[in-house]
Amino acid sequence: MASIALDRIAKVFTRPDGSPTRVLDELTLQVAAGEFLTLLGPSGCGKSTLIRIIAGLEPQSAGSVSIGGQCVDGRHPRQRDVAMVFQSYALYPHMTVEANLALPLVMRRLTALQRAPWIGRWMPGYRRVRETIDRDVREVAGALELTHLLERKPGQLSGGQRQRVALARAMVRQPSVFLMDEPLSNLDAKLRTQMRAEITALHRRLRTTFVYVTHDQTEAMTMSDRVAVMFDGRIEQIGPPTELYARPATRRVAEFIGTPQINSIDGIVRSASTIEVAGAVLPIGTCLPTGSVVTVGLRPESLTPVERAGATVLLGRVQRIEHMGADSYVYFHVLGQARALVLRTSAARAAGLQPEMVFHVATSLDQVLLFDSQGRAIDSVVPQIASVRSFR
Amino acid sequence: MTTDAQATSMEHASQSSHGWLLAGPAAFALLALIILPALSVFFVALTDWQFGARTFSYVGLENYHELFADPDFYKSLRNTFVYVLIVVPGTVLTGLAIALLVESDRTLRTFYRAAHFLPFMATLAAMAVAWEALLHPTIGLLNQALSDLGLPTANWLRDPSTVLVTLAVIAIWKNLGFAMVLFMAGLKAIPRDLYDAADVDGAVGATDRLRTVTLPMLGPTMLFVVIVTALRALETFDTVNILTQGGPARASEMLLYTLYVESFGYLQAGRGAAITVVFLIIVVLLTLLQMRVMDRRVHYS
Repeated sequence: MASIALDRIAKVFTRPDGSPTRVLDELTLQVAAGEFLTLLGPSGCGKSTLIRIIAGLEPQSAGSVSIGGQCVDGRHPRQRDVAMVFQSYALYPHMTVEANLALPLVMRRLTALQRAPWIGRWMPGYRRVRETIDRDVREVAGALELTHLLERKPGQLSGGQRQRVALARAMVRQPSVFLMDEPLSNLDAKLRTQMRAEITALHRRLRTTFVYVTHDQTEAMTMSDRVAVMFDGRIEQIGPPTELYARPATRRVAEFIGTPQINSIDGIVRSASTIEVAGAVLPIGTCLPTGSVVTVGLRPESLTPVERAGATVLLGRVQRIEHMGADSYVYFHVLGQARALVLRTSAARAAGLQPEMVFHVATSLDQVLLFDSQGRAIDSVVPQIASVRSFR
Repeated sequence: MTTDAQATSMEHASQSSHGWLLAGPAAFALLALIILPALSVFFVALTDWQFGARTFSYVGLENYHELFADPDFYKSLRNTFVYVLIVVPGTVLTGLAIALLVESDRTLRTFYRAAHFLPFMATLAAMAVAWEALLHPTIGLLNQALSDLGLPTANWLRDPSTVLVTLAVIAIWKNLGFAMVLFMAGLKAIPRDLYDAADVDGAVGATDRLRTVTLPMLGPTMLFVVIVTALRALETFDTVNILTQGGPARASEMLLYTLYVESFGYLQAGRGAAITVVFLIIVVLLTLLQMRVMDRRVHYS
C-alpha cells in the first residue's frame, strides 16, 4: 500500500511527420494510499498513457512521479513495486496458469543461475525458494478460485477465467500499487458486472492502492472511491462518483457521466430569478445579466410527465418510447430544439404516452444544472418552495 | 412424384457437371504436371530403362537392391544429412540473431533487411563464381586474409575435410536473409503487451525476455523456417554442380547431384528414378516428423 503523487506530468509524442502531439498537459494528481482511483475519459484522452507512465512503461516528457513518497522517475517498472493488468490480459500463451502466476515470483526470488534452463534446479537453495513460490501461487489461486485451472494454458480458458488469472498474476507478488488498464473491456456484459463486484471485493480485502483506467462510466461510478474525468490530456474534474454526477464542474463532465446522456438545451436569463427554456419559464436565479445565454442541463430522471400545464412546465411531443422493464425512456421534442430530449420515468407513468402525443413535462428544479457559454458550471438559486415540491 | 424425382436428379446431374467443368482445368493441370510425372517416376524406377533407349524391361526392385548395396550412394546420403544438419541450425540461429539485432534499432533497418536479403534473391550460379574467386587456394581473398593474419589456410573446395562445410556456409549465407525476413515478420507480430507484462513482472534481462516472450511466441515462425530451410538444403544442387562436381573423391556429393549424374551422366534413368523415390520418401518423412515433433511444442495463440 502506497500513495502516488503525479506532479505536472507532460507527455509529448512526435508524429511521423515530425510535428509534436501533446498527450498529457501539466497533469497533477494525488492518489491516497489504499484508495481506488479511476481515470475515466473517452478514448484518446491520455488516460492509458498516464497509467503507463505510472507503471514506468513509458517515460514522461516532463514532471515527476512518486510512489510511496519516493520519486521513481527513470526507474524500471520492476523497481517500482507495481503490478499491472492489461486489457488483453497479456498472459504468456505458452505457459500453464501455474507458470504464469509463478513468473513474477520466479523473476524476483530466484537468482539468474537458479533460473537457468536445465541446470537451475541443481543450484543451491533452488528447492527452498521454489517451495515458497509454489505456496504463494497456490494461495493466490485459491483466493481467486483458479486451483482447478492451474494445469491449463491460457488458450484453454474462457475470457472471465483469463481475466482472473491476470488479476492473480498481479496479486501474487503483493505489490504496493495495482494498475489496471481497461481490464474488463474484453468481457461480455454479464461477466463484466460480475468481475466489477469481484475487483471491488478484492480492493476491500487487499486495501492496496488501485489505479483503474476505463472509458466505461458505469465501471468508474460503481467501483471507485474517487474518479478523475480526463479530456484532452487534462483532468477536468476529480471527486467521488456521486459528486461528479450531482455537481459536474463542466458541461463535458455532465454529458460524459450518466445514461441516458444529460439533456443540454439553450436557455436565456430573463431576470435575476428566472430562466426561459423551450417556452417555459423556470424560477431559477443566477448571477448572470439578463439576456445571457446559458446551457441548461436536465438529467433524464429529473423530468417527469405530469397532468397539468403551468408556467414552469415544458410542453413536449413524444417521438418514441423505449421500455427498459421497470423504467421507460421517453424521447420527446420541445419547442425550438432540433434534438430530442429524453426523460426517464417509471413504466407506470409512461404507460399513457404514445408517439406523437403532446404532453407536459415537469422538472425538479434543484437538479437543474447551469453552464455558461464556455461550458463551466455556474451557481443557481432555486426557490425553496420549488425544491420542496420536487422531493418525491 | 416421378417428375419431381426426375427434376431433382437432372438438377443433380447438371450441378455435378458444372462442378467438373469448374474444377476441370485445375484438375487437368494437377494430373498432367504433378501426378502423372510422379507416377511415371515410380514406374521407371521398376525398369532398366536407359535414357533415350527405345526399349526397356521390367526389373522389379533390382534398382533399389543395387542402390542399397552401393557404398557411394550411402556416402551421398550421409553427406546430404551432414550438410542439412549444419545448414538448418546455422541458418536459423544467425537469421534469428540478425533479425533481433536489426529489430532492436530503428536506424538503417530497411538497408540491413535489403542487404541481408540480397543473396537470397541473387542467382546462386552467378554468386558461386564469386565464391569460387573468394575461396581460391592461392589468390582467393579468404586465404590471403588468413595468411596475412598468420592463420593456417586451406584449399576449401578441394579438400575432402572442408568441402562439405564450405558448401554449407555458402548455403547459410544464401538462406540467411530469407530466415531473417521471416523472423522479423514474426517479431513484429508479438503483442507489445506481452513485453510490457514481462517488464512489470520483472523479466528484464535479454535472456529472460527471450525465454519468456520472444522465443515461445516465435514458435510458429521457427517451425516454418526450419522446415523450409531443411527442404531447401536437402535439394541442394547448383553449388555442388558448379563448384565441386561432387568432388574431391565424392566428399561433397549429395543426393540430388547423384541423381543428376546417374540419370543424365550415365543415362541410368531407372536407377535415377529409384534415387528420386528415396529422396521423395526422405522429404515426406522429414516434413511429417518435424510437424509432429514441433507441433506439440509450438503455441499458436
